[in-house]
Amino acid sequence: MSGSDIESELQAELAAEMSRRTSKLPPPPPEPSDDLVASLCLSALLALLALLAGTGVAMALGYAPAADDAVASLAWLELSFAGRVLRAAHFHASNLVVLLALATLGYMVWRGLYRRPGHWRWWRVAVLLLLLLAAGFTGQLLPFDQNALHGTQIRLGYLGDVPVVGPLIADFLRAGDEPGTAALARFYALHVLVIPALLLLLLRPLWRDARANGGQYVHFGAAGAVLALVLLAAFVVPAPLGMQGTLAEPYADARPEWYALPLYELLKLMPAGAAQTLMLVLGPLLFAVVVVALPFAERVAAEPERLKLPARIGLGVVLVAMLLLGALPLLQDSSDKRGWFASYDVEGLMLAMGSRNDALGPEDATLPPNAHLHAHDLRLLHERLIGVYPDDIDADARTKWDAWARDGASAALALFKAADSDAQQQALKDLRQACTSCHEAHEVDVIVNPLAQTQGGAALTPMFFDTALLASLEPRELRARGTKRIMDQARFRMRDILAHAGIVDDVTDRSKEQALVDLRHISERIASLWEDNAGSWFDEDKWQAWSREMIAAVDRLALATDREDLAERMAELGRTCEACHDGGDEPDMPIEWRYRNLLQ
Amino acid sequence: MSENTDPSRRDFLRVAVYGGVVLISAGVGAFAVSAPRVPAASGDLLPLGPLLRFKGLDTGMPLEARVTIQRRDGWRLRTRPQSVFILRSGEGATAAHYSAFSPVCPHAGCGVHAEAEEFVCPCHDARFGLDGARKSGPSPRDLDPLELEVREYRGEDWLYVRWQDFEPGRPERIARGA
Repeated sequence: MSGSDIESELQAELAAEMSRRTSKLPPPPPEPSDDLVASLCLSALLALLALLAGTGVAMALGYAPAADDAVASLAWLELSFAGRVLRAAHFHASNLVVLLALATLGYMVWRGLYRRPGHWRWWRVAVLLLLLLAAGFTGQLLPFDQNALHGTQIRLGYLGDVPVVGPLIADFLRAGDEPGTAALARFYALHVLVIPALLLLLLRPLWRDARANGGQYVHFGAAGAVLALVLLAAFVVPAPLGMQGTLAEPYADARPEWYALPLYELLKLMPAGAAQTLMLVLGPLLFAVVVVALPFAERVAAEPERLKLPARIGLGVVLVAMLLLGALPLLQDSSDKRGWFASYDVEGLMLAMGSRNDALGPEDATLPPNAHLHAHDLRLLHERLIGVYPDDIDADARTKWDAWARDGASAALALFKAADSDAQQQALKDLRQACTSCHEAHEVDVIVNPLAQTQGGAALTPMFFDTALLASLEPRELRARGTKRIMDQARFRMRDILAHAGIVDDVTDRSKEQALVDLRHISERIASLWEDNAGSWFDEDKWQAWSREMIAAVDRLALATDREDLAERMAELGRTCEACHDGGDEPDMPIEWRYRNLLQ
Repeated sequence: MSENTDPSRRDFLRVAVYGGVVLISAGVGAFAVSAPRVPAASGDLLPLGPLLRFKGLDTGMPLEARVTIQRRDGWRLRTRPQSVFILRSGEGATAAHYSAFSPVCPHAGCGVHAEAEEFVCPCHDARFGLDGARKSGPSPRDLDPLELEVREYRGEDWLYVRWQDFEPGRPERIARGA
């Protein structure tokens, strides 16, 4: 055998070995652009962006970015079915687009699609998510209802906690002491001009990424599916729109969008200060570093495949943590009946309706220029009242209750839509008729039409009450039945007298003497209440003793020499009430009442 | 894709993208620099009501009183009601016998409400004692006290409160607009 023969034989053997080895190697990882699912997700994202742009432009034609106009302009738009669907489609698409962007990013981590040479696409999707979150943040304020205003106030507070740049950005966005029209101008410009323009720049590369795989028809299918889903949701579930935003009324139900719930829970658990600030800064920073660094990480790991498992585990841990943190506030809210699970109580609704009704002023007078805003609020409040009853009414009364609430809601809607002042007056009368009918049926003596305005601090006579007048007056008929309602009447009459003395600001339809005579009559009625219905749970001797004390305190009240004396005598009467309420405080019958409640 | 090989088209796209980002940033930046700074409201002394009203308060029981405050909103000044907690601590006709707390939660700025034994913020479950001291929850500091004053108004003594906004989320108390 010659040397060359051996050489050629060795070479042949080497070639065979090489080919055997290469065939044993696992197939090379798929090129990142080979993934059909990621491409289809991008198609769906682009379709949602197009829908958001279209519905956004349409809504912009009817929306006014001003503190006193935003809610009303949207409520006006939503009077038509098409307007409701339009806004609902924008609302649902804005939620779905964030969900889909998050899912796409998660999927890309799972499949290792951040890997070079597909890293630019990975970063593009991350930037897309960032812009979508910015659009969500700026869009949340735009309705300027209670949830929007209070939520943004809180978010700007957190933003201001970020060191150095935080206060600058927050002050720039807030544009005043609290978010108002100036803030709306900024949020609106960012939401409809700046962010969409930046998205537009991203559009072409994203379009190319989407078209890298799959035929035309699958892409149309993916895009059509999400659009159909959003439109279906828009027809069934309207976008929420609450009452006119004002920080004057506390709002306990401000909750962030679903995707911010984990952050919300973290901030709730973590004491404010250094730790919270650190998290507010480090959290987003860590996310940014991971997103930027992932494509480079495979250089550190000798083999790309080795990176896959840690990335998947990381993704799983983050996902589970987010789901748990997001579920906690939901569970707590559903047991507390707060936030998205908020339930309403009769007293709270009545108070809110009362303040708006007072703001509308007396009938047959010119209505305030913002009557339509109060009308919008009153309509929502009456709608919430349907199905929310006082404890002590039967099925028959409930049906009537709902009917009056519906009457009130439709009268408030008529006031909102009124074409002229005659229509306004008619709607206002209908609205007050619904209130009065309901109050009369439930024996609640509350003035619905604020007519007689008292002059605070005017009375400075030697005796506070005109004794001659007191002797000549007859008590008005007491229509109230039942312990609670009669007690209510006593409170109202005490409040009337305090209003006449200028101690509280309130409206009353009776003179101070009439109020006192009525109060005396009511306290006698209270003395006889034990037999009626209090007997089952209250000691008779105690009840009689306290009733006598109350009557005596009312008689002493009549002797008040001046306002100061009256204030002291009224506080004394208040203490006799408190003593009885505390004395009747049994576990199954708690009566929480304090004299200070009258002074509010 | 064949369309990407057209050099003039690719140049145009590059210029459009980078130019777009620069132009938009320049626009936002120019506005941020040129927009006048909105002055922050600072401590107005506001009438709460005649002292008579507050004499009837039980000690240690907060009363939610209302004042009308002015709020700067960009180019205009609006007014709106604002609630303030007033507590009576003793007998007497001077401001020292009363204390006042801002109902704005020092954590994130939600509205605090008074319950039987404590102040509660419903947004993130911060709780404070009736003396304003932190009890539990994420608040970085105690409730913010407000200054009270007794002044003569319409010939009688009135209780006045100095309304003040504070920066939320900080352990130290920073008055806004001070």
